[in-house]
Amino acid sequence: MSLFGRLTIEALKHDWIEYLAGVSMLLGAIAVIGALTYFKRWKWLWTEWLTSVDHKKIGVMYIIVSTIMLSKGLIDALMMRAQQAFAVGDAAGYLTAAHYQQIFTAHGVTMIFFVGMGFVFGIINLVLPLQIGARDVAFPFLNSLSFWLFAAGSMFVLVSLVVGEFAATGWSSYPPLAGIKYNPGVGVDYWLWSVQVSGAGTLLSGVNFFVTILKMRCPGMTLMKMPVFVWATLATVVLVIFAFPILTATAAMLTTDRLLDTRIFTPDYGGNPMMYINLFWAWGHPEVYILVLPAFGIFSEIVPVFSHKRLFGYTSMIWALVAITFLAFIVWLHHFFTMGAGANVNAFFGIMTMVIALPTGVKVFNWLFTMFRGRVQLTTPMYWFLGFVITFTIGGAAGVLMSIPAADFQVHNSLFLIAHFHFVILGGVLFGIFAGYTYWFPKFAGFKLNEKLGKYAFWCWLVGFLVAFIPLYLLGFMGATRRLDHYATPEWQPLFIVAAVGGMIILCGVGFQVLQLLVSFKQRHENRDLTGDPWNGRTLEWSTKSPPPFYNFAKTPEVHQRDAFWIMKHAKPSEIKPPQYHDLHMPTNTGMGVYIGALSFVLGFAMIWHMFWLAILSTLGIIACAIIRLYDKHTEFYIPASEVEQIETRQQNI
Amino acid sequence: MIQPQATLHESYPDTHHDIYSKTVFGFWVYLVTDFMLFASLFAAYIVLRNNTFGGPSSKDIFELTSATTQSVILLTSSLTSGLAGAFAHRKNKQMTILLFALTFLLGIVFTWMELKDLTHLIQGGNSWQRSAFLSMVFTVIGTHALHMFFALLWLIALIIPVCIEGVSSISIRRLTCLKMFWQFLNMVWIFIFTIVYFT
Repeated sequence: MSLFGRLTIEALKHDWIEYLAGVSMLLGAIAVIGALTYFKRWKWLWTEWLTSVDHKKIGVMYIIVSTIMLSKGLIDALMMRAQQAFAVGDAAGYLTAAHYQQIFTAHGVTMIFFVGMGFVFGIINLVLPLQIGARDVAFPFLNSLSFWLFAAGSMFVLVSLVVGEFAATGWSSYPPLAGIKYNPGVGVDYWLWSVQVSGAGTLLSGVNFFVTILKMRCPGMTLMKMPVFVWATLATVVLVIFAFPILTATAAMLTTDRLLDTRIFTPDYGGNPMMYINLFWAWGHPEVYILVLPAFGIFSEIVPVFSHKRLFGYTSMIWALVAITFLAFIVWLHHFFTMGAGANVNAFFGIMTMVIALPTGVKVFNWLFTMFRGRVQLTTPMYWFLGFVITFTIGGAAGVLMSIPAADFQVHNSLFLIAHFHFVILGGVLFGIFAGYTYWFPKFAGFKLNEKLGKYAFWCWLVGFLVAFIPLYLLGFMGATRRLDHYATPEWQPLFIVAAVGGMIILCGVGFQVLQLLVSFKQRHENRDLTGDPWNGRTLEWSTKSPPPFYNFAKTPEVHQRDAFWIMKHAKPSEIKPPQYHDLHMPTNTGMGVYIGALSFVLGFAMIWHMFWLAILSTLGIIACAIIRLYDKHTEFYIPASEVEQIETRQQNI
Repeated sequence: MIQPQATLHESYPDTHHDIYSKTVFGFWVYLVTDFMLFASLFAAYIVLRNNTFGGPSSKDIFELTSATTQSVILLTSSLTSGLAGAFAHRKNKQMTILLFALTFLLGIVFTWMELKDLTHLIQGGNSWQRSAFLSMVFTVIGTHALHMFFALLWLIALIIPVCIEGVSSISIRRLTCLKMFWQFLNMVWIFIFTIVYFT
């Protein structure tokens, strides 16, 4: 066994399109490194950001990583659209089949694990502690570690562009195709370690936020007084806690199948590939709700604020969330009705799938009733909400259609399915994320985003999205299956071309979003948020300054009712007492999360390429880091009351 | 959960931000996730239990004497770790060290026997490569052994500071988590004993 395992110079050989991707990625990295060196910002980056345990900075870092991954996932999507617009009949298109397979796999993995999850946990990190009136999360170091494991996981996807290849199995990597016999290369191993490492990070985040919500709420905030976003996060982390270990176990078993010749998912020696599919979706279906519930939470914050009304049906919103959380675990089989589990089993899961649409419907109607007779203000976040209601309802109805096993047999693995889940994930999750981004941006940046450009971006996204995905419903009915790099039916081509045009319109939307950020930054002095409450908000995050001081609240708020900040604003002003400041106890920054994240990447990389000595070394390194952290006695510090006072009064004087 | 006076002084100024209760509660939640991990493995084991592919079945390879001995050893260590935790809460340095050392030794003996069973299987030509059933036997027991290994490592890392500077409030908190982890591994072992060895 050589020092580098199976890593040879061959791993760097690619076709010219892959080189283009790799080189542009490397150039981007070099540009960032160069800029940091030129402006002498390395120390600042390290002390202020990378080692930070502040939930707000970690949230921002999540969003930066996810934005990078979004651009990658988007390029993947456009490449697929370009391929399918041309590759009909005699034309082979510009991509090889092998490369095309890697692209659709990488697109799915990137969008689910690193865009959806990253944005969701980024927003949760930013907003949740502020909404419950806490100074930080329950375990700030663990939070930093979670982020770095997530970042390490995303690196596997990026590095596979340059060194070796990515999986060509589809994002769900079903064996036996993903087994060692049919995929002896490193692609599936990249997939496995990417999922495993980022999954570990998500799992720890789940534990962290569960404890944060149950243990760190400010005095008076009982469970039924929590903002709905907090409830949505609670439901989400419960799903994480119960679902992600299944993924960890399943990925570990597929790893031993590939590495040590266990026979768990192999078609021979008594293994059972169908069990993998069951286990994968026992995680995978809850995962769908892990993505969409926080988006529901975001809309539940936005709609009341811009309708100037209380949320309609708070209690039913909460029970809908609880019902979805429970039902999310008993619908997984609808992903593979065609496996042949039998009519009774299929019927049970079909009915459960229909039932889960009910609490979701309750939520949609509650939002609409919140708007009813409200003074609705059509800001950009509300645009995203209205777009979401339309796309999500269409996508959801298509899902209910497929919950009938007999109907599902007709459209299983067709583009109809692809259109369905893009309608709910893109039109549900991503629109929710964009709404939340616009809504909470002023809280953390200190200035508002440009409304006009935001609306342009919205229209491009909405129109582009419909143009790109409605043809896929039709193509699905015409018999087009998913994951085709080439097809023989010329009648499909016009619809594929329309879909590609839709992709281009979405790209314009992204362009407007970039422009919006730049223009808003340039005009930040005009759009500055001096009050901390630019939208006339209802929840506690709007009661601190924008951006909030690193300790969030100089004095822990006290809550007596729902919409705590709204109540505070409208209460009779009591006599103004000079504020009393106390010493605050805060966690210190630490580089340990960065080290463990980096070592986890090295561990995964070594295992992918069979460099077992390096894998052992990095494991020892991780253990050493954990022990050093255990003995570290300087994990907390006090900010004296005088300093708090200084920060608070300085902010008032701006 | 007992919340000793000793731990109160390390809490944040606001009483509802108490580190001890947060950590112990967080560790409970972590144990739920670890339990889900084992639950997935048990499910896989039950699905593949009869897929012996012409190789030995569970009746052919398991002898209950070894498994029973292991159970007795592990249950004894459960007692010692529980007592050790109780003494830690009373800040009794000698008894804490003594009982955790005893727990450690019992843990070592148990893990050694656990791995010996697996090596016996390999030597008898029944490695994990033989069949799906054997793969799952190795996966389930191996995962438990891996947990034991980390628990033992963790025990060393936690007991050294106690030897040097006595039982601090930080040590109490961490040893309580370790104790919970130990009991958790016991519980998982009981599942392994019932599902893998007994049926």
